[in-house]
Amino acid sequence: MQPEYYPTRAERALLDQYGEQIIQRSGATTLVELGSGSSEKTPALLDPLTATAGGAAVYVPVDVSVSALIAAVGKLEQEYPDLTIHGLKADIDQHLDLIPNYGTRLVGFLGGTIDNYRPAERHTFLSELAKNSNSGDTVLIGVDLIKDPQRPIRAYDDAASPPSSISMCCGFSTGDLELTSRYPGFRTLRRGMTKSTGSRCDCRLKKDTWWT
Amino acid sequence: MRLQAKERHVVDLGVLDIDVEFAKDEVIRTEVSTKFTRELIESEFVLAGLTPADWWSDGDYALALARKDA
Repeated sequence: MQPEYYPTRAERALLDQYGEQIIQRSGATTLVELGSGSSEKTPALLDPLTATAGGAAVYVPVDVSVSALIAAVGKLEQEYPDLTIHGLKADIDQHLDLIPNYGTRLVGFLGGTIDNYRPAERHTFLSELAKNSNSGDTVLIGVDLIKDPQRPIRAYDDAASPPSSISMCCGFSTGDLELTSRYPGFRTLRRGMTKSTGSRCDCRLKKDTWWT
Repeated sequence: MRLQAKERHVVDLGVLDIDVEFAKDEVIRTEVSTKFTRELIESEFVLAGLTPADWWSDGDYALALARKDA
């Protein structure tokens, strides 16, 4: 993930500022993190969790990547010697029922990943979360918010990552395509982007945008 | 996010060994990137059987907490 990807920064800042309050309000002794990856931002919640729950604190990182889990768990075991860690390899769209049942759980789904679900998928996912929760368990979900319609283009142009970072290749002729969005008034984002050269390159289209 | 072809052309996806033909004005979906309001995500919590419990935000991004009630 790029360092300038603003939801990552924003979420990190919120976790740093409010981590203690989040743990307090959740009443949790167990933190489950869905799509935990490197568990890099998790200490913002693990610090207050271990301070509050002491030896009862449990962390359950859930990811499809075993290597990511092993690396993250190894690091956290050293940093939190009193914390019980139970890594779980699971596809969160299939197997929320595999989440172990320790104490009162806070299930975190961070990084704005829920943005990538369509409405029906979101409903299924949230319903599965609810179904697999006990009374008193909580969920914490990071969401990117709708912005003032006047802001997207300005923010986009001002971003640390220049517009040319929307690169298109693999044979796509960039002059022949335009980025479109269903946000009223922002149908065309930018025409005639950087044309790639060479026969091999990364096909990278992902660039988060500031509207629905 | 969608991409729309401005004219007919063929894309050679070498790694997959396929050619993909795009008609003029054809649209492909490249990603779903939903933006939320507090009302939207909280109403979705309720529909799923969760009770909105708290909210932390800087105005651009938010952490939404919801609880499973008895």
